[in-house]
Amino acid sequence: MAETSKRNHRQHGGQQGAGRSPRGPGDDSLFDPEVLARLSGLKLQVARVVDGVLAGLHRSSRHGESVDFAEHKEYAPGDDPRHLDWRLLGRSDRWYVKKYEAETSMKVLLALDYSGSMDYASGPFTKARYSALLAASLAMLLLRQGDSVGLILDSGSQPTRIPPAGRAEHLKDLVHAIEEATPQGPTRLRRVADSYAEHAGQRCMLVLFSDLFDPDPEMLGAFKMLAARGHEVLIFHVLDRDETDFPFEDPALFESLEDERSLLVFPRQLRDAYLEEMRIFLEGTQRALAEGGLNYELVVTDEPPHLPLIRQLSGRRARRAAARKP
Amino acid sequence: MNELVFTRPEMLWGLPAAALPLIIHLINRHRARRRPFAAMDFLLRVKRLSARRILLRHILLLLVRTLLIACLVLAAAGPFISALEAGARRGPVHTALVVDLSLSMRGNDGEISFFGAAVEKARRFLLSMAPEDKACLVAAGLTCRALVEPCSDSRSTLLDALDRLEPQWGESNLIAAIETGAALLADTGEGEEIERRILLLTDASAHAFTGTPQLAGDSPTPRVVLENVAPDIPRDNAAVGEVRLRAKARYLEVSAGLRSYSRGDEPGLSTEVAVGKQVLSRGFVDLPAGETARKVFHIQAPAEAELLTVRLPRSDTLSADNERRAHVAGRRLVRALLVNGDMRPVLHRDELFYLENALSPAGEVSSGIRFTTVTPDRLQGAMLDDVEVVFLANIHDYSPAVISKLRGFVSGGGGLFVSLGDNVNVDLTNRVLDDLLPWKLRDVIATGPADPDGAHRRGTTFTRLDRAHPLFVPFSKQVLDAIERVRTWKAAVLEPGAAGPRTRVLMDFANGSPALVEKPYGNGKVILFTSTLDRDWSAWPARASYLPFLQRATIYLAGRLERLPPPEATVGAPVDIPLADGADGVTVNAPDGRQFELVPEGSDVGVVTFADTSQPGWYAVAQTAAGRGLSKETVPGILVHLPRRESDLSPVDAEVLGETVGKAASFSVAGVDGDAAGSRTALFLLLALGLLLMEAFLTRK
Repeated sequence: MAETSKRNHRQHGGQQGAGRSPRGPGDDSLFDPEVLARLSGLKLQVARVVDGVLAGLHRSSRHGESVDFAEHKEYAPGDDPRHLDWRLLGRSDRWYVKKYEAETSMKVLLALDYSGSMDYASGPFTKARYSALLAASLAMLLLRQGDSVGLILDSGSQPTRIPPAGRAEHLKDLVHAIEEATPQGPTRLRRVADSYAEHAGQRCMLVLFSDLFDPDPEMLGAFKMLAARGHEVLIFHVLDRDETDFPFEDPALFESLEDERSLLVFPRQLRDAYLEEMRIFLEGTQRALAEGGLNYELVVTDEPPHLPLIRQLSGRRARRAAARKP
Repeated sequence: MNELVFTRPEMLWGLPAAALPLIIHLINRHRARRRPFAAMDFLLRVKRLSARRILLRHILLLLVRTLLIACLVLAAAGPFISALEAGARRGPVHTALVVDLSLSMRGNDGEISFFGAAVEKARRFLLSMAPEDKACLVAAGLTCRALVEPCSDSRSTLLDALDRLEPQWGESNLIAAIETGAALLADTGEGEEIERRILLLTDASAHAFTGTPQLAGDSPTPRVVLENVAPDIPRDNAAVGEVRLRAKARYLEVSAGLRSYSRGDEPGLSTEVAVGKQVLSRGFVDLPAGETARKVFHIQAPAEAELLTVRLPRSDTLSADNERRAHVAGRRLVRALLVNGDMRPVLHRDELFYLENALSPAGEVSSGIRFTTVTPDRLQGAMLDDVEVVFLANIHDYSPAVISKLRGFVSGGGGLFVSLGDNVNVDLTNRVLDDLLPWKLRDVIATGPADPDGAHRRGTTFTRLDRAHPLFVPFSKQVLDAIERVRTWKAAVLEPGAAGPRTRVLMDFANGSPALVEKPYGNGKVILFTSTLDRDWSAWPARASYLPFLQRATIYLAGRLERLPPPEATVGAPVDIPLADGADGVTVNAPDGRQFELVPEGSDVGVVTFADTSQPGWYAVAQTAAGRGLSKETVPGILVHLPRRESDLSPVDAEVLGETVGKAASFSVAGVDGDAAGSRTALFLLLALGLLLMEAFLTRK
């Protein structure tokens, strides 16, 4: 009960941070995992999340245009008059059109860790489902701005791979593939990195959704290697609140979701040590990824899913703006 | 070597409960919920790293919880180490345990009574006896009784006898108990190495020690040890003493004596009078320290006989003496039927004008007599059902049915008063009343000229009053002399030799003729007055003595005079119970429900002695004849009070007692069983508290 209150408190905190009016597109209660879970089908959920992201970014995205303004170009016949900068025309009587970042199309590969450990949920969404929601929402946003989006879904023996494509209908393929998959098997993130490296071309970006519960000590090294080769890598570290807080009280036989291991645990005796171990893990991961130039976003599944996307997209824009300054 | 013993060893059966933590742990282990979890690597790593620490804490926690329960069980079992066993012993110890059962042992410190403390100490003592030791048990109550004799080394026998002890309501004499104990110890065998000891377990109230113990000269001298079971308890006490009742015209005056045995004044002490649980009156009285005070209540007299309780509605060291009872007889009216044989329209000429005014001068409440007047022709047998006394005044004739009913009425216990007058036909009256008349009438004669006011000293006077008769007993000499001065100028003379059996002349005329005769008839009585109840033949109705005499005669004929107030006694004192006419025994019902059948013994005539007054309260008494109950009664019951001396809880002066007892035996004061010092209950509780804190510390982590 106390844990529930704690969660609610956190959720409400996130909503207040968004500062939206109630029940409008910016009303964060609409994006609460409990509310989202009531919507049937990933597509509907994705649409709701994308609405939240766009509202959160303070941009009108109704026309499906790129969200990142890049530079001005002198108007020439054939240019879309919708992109005329009317304000500049009014000031200087010169005809310019806006040019956007998105207009320089990029390939994005969304990598979903669908191992057995991702099948854990203390709330309405398993980590796998939450990751799928984030990935599909991001895919919709990217497709809207003309990027190509592909998918690597690592579940079971062989990862499923859908090559990048820029068609709007491609989202259906992605969603279908995700909904068909079932979280199972051990976590093998190096295989995901290898699969990406094998198929990624130039100017490609990898977005990984995983709990990073991979016993392979070289796992992070593989992603750092990709970054070192010039690929942009973003990792959404998806965890459940039970895993971050370990709120259990009664003795229980804890069983692994990926293999046959089990352990009788008196939670109160282990909590402190567990939380310390988790803290070291999170800090170590964050530090290692930052050192390798990877982008990292820690996500807990009781958080409204549009918030981590907003944070990442806003941060990305800020980083680009900073990079353009002389 | 000191031995840890327990006053409540049966509590040790709870020791297996100490295994509960282990059992719960094992059950939890087997009933653990299965919980799928993703971060298993973390758990395994954490478990591996802290396995030893966790195991150690687990074991420590189990140990602490097990010890905690064990300590609580041991504390509940009353552990103690007897100081008696400490020190050098030269040989076996034979002890006479004397437990004081007197009323003062019912005192308490708010948690445990003095008696309870004494039994507890005795139990500890018995449990700590060495195998070669022996003990006997003496109950010092109204009498000193040896409960276990000769001295025994069987703990179970002694403990069983101890468990059967109960505090009593009377006094005790501990000097006599010392003598009893010494006699018991003298029989325990020879041997100089035997140490003989009399252990007095008492509240040490001074009143329990009277006299000097007289021990047999040739028996070994025991050591007397006084163990005050209530050494530090405040001895403040107040008691209700004598309660006096006084009937007034319209109320009852209840006067209660209160006695303080405290060191401090008690202003505004609440006092109340109650019947059962119903409080009739409440008041306050200032009770100075160590003195007496009296509180007077005025209450409405109860209609029926009741037991009043005067009490101090509070608790003090000895609460049993905070109330005292008193018996009030009630104010049930005597019902009389007056048959008027010469009714006149002029009031003062009416036959019953003076009688009616005498029986109820200020209403029935003041006299306690209620009467109904009828004429002979309206007299019906059914009228006798509701009355206790019938007056036949100057009646000429009677219907046979009424006479038959009248015989049954008198033989059943009713009273009949027959007076004469001008309407009376001597022969007819003799024939009709027949055996109801105490004495046959012969004729009516004039003893002088009429003198209604008695101013001319004509006629004859009354003489030879039977002053021992209940009718005349309460009257002063002046009243009786006044009766003898009353003039009567006309009266009936009685047939010589025609007196009925058991007829008694209560008063004569100066001319030698009987004026007032009485005869028992069945269970009732008949009185014949040979003159008139109005002023036709006698001046008596105009005299002051007429009123009290007629009232008393009415009450006497109703059988009310034979009821004596209940005898009162102190617990343990014998009480004499008078027998009613025709009774050959009594049944006594004690307050605790016991019933006693008593018959006169030896030379006792008309009285039985009841000695088993071991409890305070009301003992109902019923008269019996040939084993069957009688409707007659002499006393309604016996009221037994607590002994007043027991209310004084002042402790005996140990030095003075030492000198007194020391003349016959060596004497010492203070604990032999180390009581508080020997108790380990607090130690175990402290240990349990420490373990509880440790448990909280271990589980917090």
